[in-house]
Amino acid sequence: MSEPMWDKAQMIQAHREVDDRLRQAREEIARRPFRLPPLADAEKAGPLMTLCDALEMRLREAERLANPLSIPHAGRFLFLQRVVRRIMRPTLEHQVRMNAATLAALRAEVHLLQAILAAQYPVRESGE
Amino acid sequence: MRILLSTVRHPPFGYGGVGVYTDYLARVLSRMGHVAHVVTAGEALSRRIAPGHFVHYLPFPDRAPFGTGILGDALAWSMSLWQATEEIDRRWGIDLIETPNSVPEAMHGLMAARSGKHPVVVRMSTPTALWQVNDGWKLEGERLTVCAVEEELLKCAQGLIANTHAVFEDARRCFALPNGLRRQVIYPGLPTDYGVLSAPSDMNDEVRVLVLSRLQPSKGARALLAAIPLVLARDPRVRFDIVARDVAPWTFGADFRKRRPDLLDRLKFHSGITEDRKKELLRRCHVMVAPSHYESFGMMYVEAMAFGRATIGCPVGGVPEIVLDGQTGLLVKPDDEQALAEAILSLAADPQRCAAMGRTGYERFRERFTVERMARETLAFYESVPGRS
Repeated sequence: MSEPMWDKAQMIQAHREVDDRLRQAREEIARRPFRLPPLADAEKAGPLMTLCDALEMRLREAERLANPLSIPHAGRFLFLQRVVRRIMRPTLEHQVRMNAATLAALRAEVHLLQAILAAQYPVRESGE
Repeated sequence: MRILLSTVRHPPFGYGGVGVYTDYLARVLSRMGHVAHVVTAGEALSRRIAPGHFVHYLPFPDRAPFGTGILGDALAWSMSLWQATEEIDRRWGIDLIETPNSVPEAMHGLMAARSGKHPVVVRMSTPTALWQVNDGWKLEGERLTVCAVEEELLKCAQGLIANTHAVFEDARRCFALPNGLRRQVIYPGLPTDYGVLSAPSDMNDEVRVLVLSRLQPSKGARALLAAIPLVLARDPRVRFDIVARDVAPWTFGADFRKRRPDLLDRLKFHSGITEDRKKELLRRCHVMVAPSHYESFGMMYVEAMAFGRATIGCPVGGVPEIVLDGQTGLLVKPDDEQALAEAILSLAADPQRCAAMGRTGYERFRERFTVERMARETLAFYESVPGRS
């Protein structure tokens, strides 16, 4: 190292902390059950998954731009969030078993939610 | 080969450099007949993109036991990553793990390397210590501990891929790299068909300057926002599209909008745009500007080159390995708004030179910065790493 970027004694201490924190992580891992989230087949889920992604991105953008709990439409926002994350996702995960009519209905629902979100939380593209 | 790649951000929900090259690399590896599991954070639907290409979105776990701050986040997420790694190994098998060098992913990389179950390859962009110092942070407390994580990871890993020669030199400057560590410089890349070479529109009435960056000190936000009024005052044709957001705790963009409302009809801040929209802006622009004080690589320059556009950056980090000064773009002194403004104005005043730089940049992209080449070199490197089962 041409120019030390840190205090050597502090770095030795930092390495000890890494060991301690990894030990803590191992203990937590042993305590917590874990299940890999189920996989959907992107080819089969196709356009619905794309729509779900688009909706999810809008939700994230809305979350990033404003604290949803402090804005006038907080109730609707949280409702939409629940719809996407607790209902649509699990539904899509099992979409292979759904019939065409259900898929079409779900797709219509996604379009409607997208329209509501676009109106309520527009993506900002101006100098505001 | 069965490879596990980790990235905290992953398209379509995150477009950081690591997430983007990981996504492209996984796609090409699976097309070449290998299996790539990408583990990433998110509430989205985990999916099998194609045969041999999986993306596992892991909900962010409760970090309460680990405390707040960057280390707490890193530990909580690494815990989930580690549990996912074990399950993926049980169900599909893993031959090798690739991890980025910095936290949060590096903490998981360190767990994996210390377990000794699989060889671990570190793909290094900016060393953690460097980006923290460049953003004005003092290396102490947790900020120093995350540097220790990186140093420890490099001690335990079986291979090091550096994004550029500059990164490799920076890694050597920051850490005592173990003698036996296999190492290679492999440039990240974009798909060959990422962009389309098209002639820029004429510049008689309008010159579009695109900024792809983040508004923080190390990305040159101060000089950039100081240069914009200078350019707009001298060339009425120039319009700015700024695809750059404020990064807490800095408020460069918000402050600029408050301070100069008179300029907002000639510049647009874009936030939360899709990849398609970004490509549209790349196609429409004449010049792409990213005046970072440090970039380990700088994928945004390559993105612009893939569309045949001239680029402006600073001669720092790996940037001169991508942007050839006077050939594919211009390199200006960092944190110098006058120099940056002059560079933009000089290209705005010379459409032929601007277009020629774009064409040369496109050729350079096809030759050096495609993901297909990156995947071939990466696979050869994986094959050479000791300890692979």
